[in-house]
Amino acid sequence: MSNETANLRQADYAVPAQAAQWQKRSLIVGVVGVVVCIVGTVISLDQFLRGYLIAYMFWLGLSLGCLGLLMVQYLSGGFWGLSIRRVLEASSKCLPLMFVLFLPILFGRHHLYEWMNDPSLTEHNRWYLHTGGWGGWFARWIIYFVIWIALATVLNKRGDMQDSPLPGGIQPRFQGLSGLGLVLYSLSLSFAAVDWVMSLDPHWGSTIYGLIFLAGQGLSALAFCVIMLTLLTRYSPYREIIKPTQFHDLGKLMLAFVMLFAYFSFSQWLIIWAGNLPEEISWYLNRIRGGWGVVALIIILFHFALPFALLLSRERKRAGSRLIGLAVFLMFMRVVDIYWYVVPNFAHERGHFYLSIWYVLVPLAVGGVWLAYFFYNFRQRPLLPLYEPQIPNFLQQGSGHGH
Amino acid sequence: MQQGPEEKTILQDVPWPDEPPVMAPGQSFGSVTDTIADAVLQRPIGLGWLLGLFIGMTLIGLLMMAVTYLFLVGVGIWGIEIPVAWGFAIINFVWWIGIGHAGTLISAILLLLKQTWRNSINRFAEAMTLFAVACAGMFPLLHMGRPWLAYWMFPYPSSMGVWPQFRSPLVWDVFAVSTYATISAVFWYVGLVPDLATMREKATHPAGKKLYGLLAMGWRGSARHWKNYEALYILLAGIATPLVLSVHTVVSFDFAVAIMPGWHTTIFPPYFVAGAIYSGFAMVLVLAIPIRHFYHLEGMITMRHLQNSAKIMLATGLIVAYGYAFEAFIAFYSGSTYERFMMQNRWFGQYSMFYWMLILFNILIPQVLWFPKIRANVRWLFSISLVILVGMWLERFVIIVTSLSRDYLPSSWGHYTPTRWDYAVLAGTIGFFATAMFIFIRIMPSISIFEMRALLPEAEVKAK
Repeated sequence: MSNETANLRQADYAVPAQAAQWQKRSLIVGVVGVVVCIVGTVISLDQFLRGYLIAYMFWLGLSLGCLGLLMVQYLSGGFWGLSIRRVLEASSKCLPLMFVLFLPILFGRHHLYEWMNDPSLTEHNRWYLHTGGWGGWFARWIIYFVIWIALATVLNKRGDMQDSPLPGGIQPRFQGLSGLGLVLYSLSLSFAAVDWVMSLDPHWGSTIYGLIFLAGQGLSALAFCVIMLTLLTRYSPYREIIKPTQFHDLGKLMLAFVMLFAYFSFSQWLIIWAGNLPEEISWYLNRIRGGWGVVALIIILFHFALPFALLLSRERKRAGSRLIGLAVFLMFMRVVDIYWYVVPNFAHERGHFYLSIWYVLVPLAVGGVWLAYFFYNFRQRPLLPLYEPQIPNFLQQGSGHGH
Repeated sequence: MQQGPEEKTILQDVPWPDEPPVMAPGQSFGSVTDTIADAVLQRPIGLGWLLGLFIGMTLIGLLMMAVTYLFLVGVGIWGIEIPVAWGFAIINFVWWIGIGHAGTLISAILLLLKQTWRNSINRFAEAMTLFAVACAGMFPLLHMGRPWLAYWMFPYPSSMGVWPQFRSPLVWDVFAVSTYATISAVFWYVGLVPDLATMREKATHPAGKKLYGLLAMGWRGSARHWKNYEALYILLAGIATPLVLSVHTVVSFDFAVAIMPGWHTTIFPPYFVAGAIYSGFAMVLVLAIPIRHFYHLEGMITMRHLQNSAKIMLATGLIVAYGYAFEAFIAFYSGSTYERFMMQNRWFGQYSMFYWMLILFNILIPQVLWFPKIRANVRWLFSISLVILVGMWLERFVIIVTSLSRDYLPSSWGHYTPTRWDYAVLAGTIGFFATAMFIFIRIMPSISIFEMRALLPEAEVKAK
């Protein structure tokens, strides 16, 4: 086995040259987007910031979702993680970028978070919703990113080890690290979701909120992996390695996350609807009345029902070319869902549908920047962790006895 | 299911070189069949088994007594009173139904995920599900007070115009649990058919031959049989998979849909499901560890099974811990006086001892499962599993009793003290469960013979 591994040449598994092209295009979108965004801050700072919060939660979610999946695949084992591991690693490397990209929210916080301007709103929970001190909103932002960036750095360092032959012994599996990392990630993300989105309405709370964000991030990450894998499969070497089974399995996982997300969302809705308590139901009423109901219906139909029905088909799951459209669509629906979570919190939009051009432009702009940095990270290393002990089996399965 | 080369996908788990195998080396088709079948057909009835059966039967006797008295006198013999009208009966119901979940998870979800390590523990885990659901099902019936009117829960064209309230989760429960019981029974039986045919061939006693022959329904093991069989088995697994989530979700709605502080919280569905799987795997280990020891099945129920179960327990236990944490956080974040009081009452109120025991048993002690050494130690695993089973029972006690005894109006606060009849019924169902398991392992192959054979290297060669 060791001979076989040693024979694999890194050059054969380099990222296809086209990735440089993708990076350049993303960068153009990003640069143009940033310019447009600067204009946006002048035209309508409030709407820009809301759009920015949507964009931020989505692209942060993608980076974190990939970090989470990276740990899950180390924990669960199996081949499914191998073909996408480098995508996951490169996305998680975007977390330092997301740390910097938090600055507009930091400086625009008084335009977004009503409770920061009006202390009377947080009389009941000032122990948590305050900005100063070690446990405050600022400190928590730092703590979350310290955790996330540390995890991403350690996992990527370990990933680097798999690019060269081992000095000897069995490759470590990072299972303990990943387990601990998942605990830290779930907790920190849940509190971050409270800090940055839930606290837009400081009177409302839901215990499943963090889990809904977790499932959403997992779904974004899987959809992104499907897109990347499909694009890469157009070129050598993935054209020869990746077989329908890989797509099939990612498709199954995507289906599972579509269902998981729907399950969490439905649970929250049913319990609050049945309880019908004034302090809770208002959150849904703000998101159903005045045109928002259509958005809610779109989310039910296109975030759940349609992808669910389509993903039941075995043929669709096995063909990247048929899966990629759905994956792009699911990522779009993730943005719609975050939009539906964020915007109806603001005084004028409570129960009054509102769609600003900035809610569309800012996510695209941030996406350009994010993708450019992602491709930059992605191109640094071979497509596969070549000295991971499972790789010979994986390659053999892909090329040899496939069907 | 069959794991031929075509069936391998990247979701399949691949053991690392230093990990224990799914099956000990040196097994063959014949040895697998003999080891499992002989435990039933050849092995003489031992004293230990008889003693276990005797204890189980005695507890069933106690159950009979308690139930007879209950029917004669009514639910007043229990500790339930207003405001705590849901006592042991509902606690035990939720506890038992949760335990059943591991069986379905192992048999259905792990089958779809092609986890080969499920193949030796699925059979008795499914049996465990059936018996646990039977135990669970008793409680709502007994709790009704007039169990002979239980059929009123079903929508039927009654001349009295009685119709169930479909907005009540208690009615959803009727459908969820009865569907669950039906599917679990069918799945278990269908899984048994090829093995029953093996038993028919191997049995020497004519009565045994007759019995297994009847149950095997003419199974000959022809290619066509297998083809249809596999399609059916996968289909049933697909049907059973949503049930793993749905049943305990509906059970959680029994609480969450009410506006009782401590019950009405949105995290209940996933956290109940995780708790159910948590206790279910604990019960799997409590059963698997003695079975493999006394029937010398260490080659089939290997350390890999026990370690994987321990990992699932650790993961689901952490989800449960997440649930506790966010319940507490949101109680203080939301600003509702009642929610805050509920949490403080759990921490410092009259039943606080049970809350802290719950934290100790369900959260703190199981954290030792992080250590591979502990996961590799059978005694530790057995003890931790028992601790978790107690912990999960306490969880339901804390949820039900602390909330009901201290709700919105101080004028309607109360106490709950279980009576000896409460304990008798609980002990009785444990006896029922144990007896059923004891009988099961003596008359049925407690490990799936044909699925174990499919794991052998020979099976792969043949399939090529």
